[in-house]
Amino acid sequence: MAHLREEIAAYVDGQLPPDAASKAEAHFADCGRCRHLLEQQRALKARIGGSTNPVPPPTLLASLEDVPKSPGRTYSLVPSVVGAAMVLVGASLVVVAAAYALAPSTRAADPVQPAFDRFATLASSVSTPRRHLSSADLDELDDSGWPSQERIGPGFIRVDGHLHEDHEVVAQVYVGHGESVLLFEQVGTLDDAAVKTFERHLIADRLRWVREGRPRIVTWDSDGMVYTVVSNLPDQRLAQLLEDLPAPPEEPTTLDRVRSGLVRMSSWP
Amino acid sequence: MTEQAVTDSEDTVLISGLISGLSPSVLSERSAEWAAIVAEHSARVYRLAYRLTGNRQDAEDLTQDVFVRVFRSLDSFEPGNFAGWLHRITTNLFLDRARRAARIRMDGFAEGAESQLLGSDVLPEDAVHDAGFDPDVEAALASLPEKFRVAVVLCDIEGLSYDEIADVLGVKVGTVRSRIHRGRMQLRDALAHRAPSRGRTRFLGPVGI
Repeated sequence: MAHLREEIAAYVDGQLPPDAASKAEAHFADCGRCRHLLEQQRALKARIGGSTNPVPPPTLLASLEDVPKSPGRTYSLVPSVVGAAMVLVGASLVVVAAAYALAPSTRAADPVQPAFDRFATLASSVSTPRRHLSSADLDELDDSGWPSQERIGPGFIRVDGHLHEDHEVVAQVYVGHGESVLLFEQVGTLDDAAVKTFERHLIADRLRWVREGRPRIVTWDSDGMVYTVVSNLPDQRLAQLLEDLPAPPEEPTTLDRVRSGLVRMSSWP
Repeated sequence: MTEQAVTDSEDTVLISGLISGLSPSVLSERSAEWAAIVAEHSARVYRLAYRLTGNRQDAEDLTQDVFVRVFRSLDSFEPGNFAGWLHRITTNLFLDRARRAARIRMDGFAEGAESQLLGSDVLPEDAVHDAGFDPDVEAALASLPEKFRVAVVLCDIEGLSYDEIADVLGVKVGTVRSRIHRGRMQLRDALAHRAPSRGRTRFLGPVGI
């Protein structure tokens, strides 16, 4: 008789019909290999199921009870502090001296049109020539005038960065809580023509340009640098993340101007 | 299952009271009933979320998402198996997140990021500290493809039958059987190749390899 396969799992779990279970037992009696697999699966099942149960922390319970009051996302995550060392090991170790020559030298920047569509496609968002930047490179970029942070927002850790020399774009990759976020920095000010398909929304207390979708693109400029964040983050976490980045200047706002934003604000924290 | 049946029956009464002709705004005032639902089911949802995501942060996040979804969907709940409904919401939200993370994964762009995308950045030592879980098993579970992990967790930790798992996942029973078998085989291999966790004395593994 041929060896058993999925029947072993089903037998261990008591999910075989009686006649099939009888046949399996007859086979186990004759076949040492399948008997060994049976014992392995039994032991494995016991080991997996034998763990103690995690208990939800009181802060979570309180947050769950508050869901009816604000059925949006109300729970504020504590920043993750683990795994930083592992993440940094994963960063590229290639040193790029030329990167520093591209450091923004002036804040009287020209209007630029970030390549949002390419940003959104992610895989091809930074075309050649590009170079991996190590965490040390990125730290030096920061010293050279490119705003660059190892961690931002609620537990996001930088794991990689790239330099796009033609367009003077630095791209950084952050991950945390099962999500990844791309942050693009580009010398210049945001060209009006670049955001024709965007809407202005109030996020993290400032008006920013937003193109909804998956991924969602948020862009703004601040002090001669255009920032673009590409992510699928829920509203609250995105707002928390943006709070850690240079903010666009506050603008005199009229009621008319923010009216459309106010509609949206209800979904922002 | 008897205990669960009783619980489900009580839930049905509770939820029927919550949703009968009430708008969400009125529902929000029924905080006592909602608190009872949270008290009754949060531990179960959190446990499942923890085993699926492998770490506390993501488990809390997922649990929150589940209860938000539950609250918003109360009016579409058909009296019956409330626990099964929670299982379905939890696993579907988890798999949605996994799919979303996979979509945003970047070839050659986020080296070092992929292992972080589903929260596996938590060291096993932290996991066991948080949850009293065997860190080797935790790491091995985290290494499984999400579909296999869901099936094994629902079976071995939640104690669901293959029929119930098939119902939760919307797949055929044969698919469940296959995923559990293959998932366990991969777990066995992962545990066999995994060195004992740092600073821990490994007890004699039951896998016998």
